[in-house]
Amino acid sequence: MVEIVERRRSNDPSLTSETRFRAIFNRTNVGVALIDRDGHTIESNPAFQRMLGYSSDELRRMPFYECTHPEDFDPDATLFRDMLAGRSEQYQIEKRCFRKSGEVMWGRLSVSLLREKEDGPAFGVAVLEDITERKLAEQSQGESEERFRRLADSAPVLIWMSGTDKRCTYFNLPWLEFTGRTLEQELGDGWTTSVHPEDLQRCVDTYVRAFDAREPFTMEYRLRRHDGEYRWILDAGVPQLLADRQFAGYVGSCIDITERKQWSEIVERDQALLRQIIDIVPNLIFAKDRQGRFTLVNQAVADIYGTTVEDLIGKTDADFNRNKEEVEVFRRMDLEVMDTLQDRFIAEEHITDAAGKGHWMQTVKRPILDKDGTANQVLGSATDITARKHAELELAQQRNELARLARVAVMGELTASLAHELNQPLTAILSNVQTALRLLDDPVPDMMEIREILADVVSDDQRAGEIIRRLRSLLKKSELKFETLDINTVILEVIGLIRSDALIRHVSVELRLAPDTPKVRGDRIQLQQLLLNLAINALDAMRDVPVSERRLGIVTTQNDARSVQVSVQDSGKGIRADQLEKVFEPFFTDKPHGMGMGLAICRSIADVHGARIWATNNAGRGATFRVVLPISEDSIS
Amino acid sequence: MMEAAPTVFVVDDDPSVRKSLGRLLKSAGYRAETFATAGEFMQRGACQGPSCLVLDMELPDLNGLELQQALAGTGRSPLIIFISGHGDIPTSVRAMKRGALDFLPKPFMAQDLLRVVDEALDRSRREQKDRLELSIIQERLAHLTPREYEVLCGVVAGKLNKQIAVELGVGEKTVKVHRGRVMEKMGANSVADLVRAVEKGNAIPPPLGV
Repeated sequence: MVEIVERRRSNDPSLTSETRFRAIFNRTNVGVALIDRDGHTIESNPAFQRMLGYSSDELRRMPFYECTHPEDFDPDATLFRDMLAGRSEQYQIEKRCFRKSGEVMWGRLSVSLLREKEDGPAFGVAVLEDITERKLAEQSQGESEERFRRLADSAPVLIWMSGTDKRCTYFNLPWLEFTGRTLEQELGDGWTTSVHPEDLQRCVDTYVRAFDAREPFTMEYRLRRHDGEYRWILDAGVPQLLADRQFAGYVGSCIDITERKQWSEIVERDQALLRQIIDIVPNLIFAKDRQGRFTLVNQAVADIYGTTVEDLIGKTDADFNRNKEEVEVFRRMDLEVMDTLQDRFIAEEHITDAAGKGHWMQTVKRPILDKDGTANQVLGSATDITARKHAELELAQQRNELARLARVAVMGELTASLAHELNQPLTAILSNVQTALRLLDDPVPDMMEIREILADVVSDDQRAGEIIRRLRSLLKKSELKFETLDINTVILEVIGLIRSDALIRHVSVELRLAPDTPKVRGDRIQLQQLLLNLAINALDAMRDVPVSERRLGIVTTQNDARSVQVSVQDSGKGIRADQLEKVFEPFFTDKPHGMGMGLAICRSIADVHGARIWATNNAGRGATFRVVLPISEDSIS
Repeated sequence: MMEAAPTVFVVDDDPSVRKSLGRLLKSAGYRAETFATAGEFMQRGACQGPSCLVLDMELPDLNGLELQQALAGTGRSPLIIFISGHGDIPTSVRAMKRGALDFLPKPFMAQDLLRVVDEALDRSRREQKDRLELSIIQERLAHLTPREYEVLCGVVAGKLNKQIAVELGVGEKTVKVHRGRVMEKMGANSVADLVRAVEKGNAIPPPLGV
């Protein structure tokens, strides 16, 4: 300090004033003190005194080291001794000092050696700056870095950081533990040695491309683990921007997705397997949403609709099925299943394929439940039962045909016999009567001959009557087999015959059969014929009615103690009021190809059974035919 | 020429019908013969006078069409009127095609049957008369000598005696004698009569060679 003063004096003679130097010494914020060999503060400026909180006298009396933090004492003392011994001209140290108040002050101490004479005593000129604030800031930064490190090291992910030169500057402990390498080995581009050679180029390309664009990136690659095994890693990097938006490199985090990858492979394989399984099944498997759009189909559905599985997804039945009525029935059923949350077993339903060919299906539909317990999809599986159904239909047709033939045969035989048998006596009668008339033209009629003729006419007429009686009894006794019957059973047999027909025509059949109906007496075939005719008429009557409104109802009720009533109701077009009775007359028909014999036969069968048959129009739509059959004697007793 | 009484045969298996038809036909002045089966009728044999057959289509042994065929097989082809209790068209058409005279569905009016029977007998009578004439002419032709036949052929061909004489290489006088004989034997009064007889008798004159 003195030397400085000297120098200043020599450089600038105007500044030699002791007063001006003092002023600076006293007013500067930097603490300045003159220390002797023993470490006593010989002289100190006010700033110095302020920093340590001691007065000039107090400082003079105490050795400097007394206010030095014990941990920092040795380094300072060593440096001071070395300087005094001439091994250095000056030194600097950051050390902690105790203020008089006991507070710790971080000080930056610069000490220079000062000799007043060549061989005179040496002093130290100490310049002390209070750097407590900076130190505390440094400390807290160190702590936050430490915190980050602890956080990063305890994170379950591998973390890396890179600088603006793309080179890596940091790897967390999990990373290092994963690769089994040291931080020094990994820094820079060291980490790339652990990347699988096949993935490295792709990896680097992705990194560089993202880096140059300052964009986040993700990539998957295999990274060699400490045990030598390559593991699949998902690495996500994001650019780091400082508070002033300046780019500061990347931070990346990586997770081991080997298991996940294996899982997804397993899931994919399982899905492919599932796909194969549902495609190999000959059943139609499908799922549809509330709009009727397919969300899942198998190959069998695609085959029926003449397209591919992919094409079907998102489309509806209506896009492929030309039978509008059928599609409507499917829709109704699907919605019903979703609304009621009930499985639905459909024993038989009809589906038209792309070529317009019909298939019979046995179908199960089940709601697919969402988390909230409602259903917005329906799952279905349908078995093609066409072959079986055809066999059944054929059988039913054969039965129908048989029944029809039986009917025709009875009628045909009846008319043929009637015609031929009656023609003989009629021919004889006509011929005889006309002969008699001729004889009467004679002037003298041969009355004997005429008497004979008239006798023959009488006998031929009786013969004709006998023929009719014989035919009637033939119909009653030989052709008809009267037995005691449960009318409900007869109805079920008839339903068996028309069920397929009703299904094809989308007519729902409702049976309300009174239990324990008393037995009736009748010919099973004839009664079947009667009910079959009524049922088929009912189906025919609903041809022009919308699908959803086609209903055939068959109801049995016990009318009174002596009779049972069967009602056959349809929702068809009804019967004109003035024709309610006429419909039973032979050759009355409103069908384009009808014979007009069906209801006439019904009435004749009813007559033979002592039953009544009549028709009424329903209050709503359609007509009802009622047959009241007398209860069998056995049942009454 | 004495004509046999026209006969109407009735074949019907129904006794009432048989009896009433027989009675009707008799009342109309015909001779009626009735048979219950086709077999009975076949045994009856051909009849001389004019006749016709009222045949029921449905018979217990042969049906009407079969009997029609069977009769044709024995060279008899009576005029047939079918009657039937089944008035079915295909059968009636078949019957008519095979030469039946009519087809009456039972029951029929008496006048309808009698009218058809009348027609049938008329036709039968004509046919019988034709057959008789033919047999007479043929018998007469059979009585001509070969030379007389040659002369007949020349005359029928419209040739003069002189021409015939030249062709036969005889005298004109001889031709004249033969011609007289032919006219006599054939019961012909004129050349026209002769030509008619030859035509009717299907005597086709052989071409006269030299």
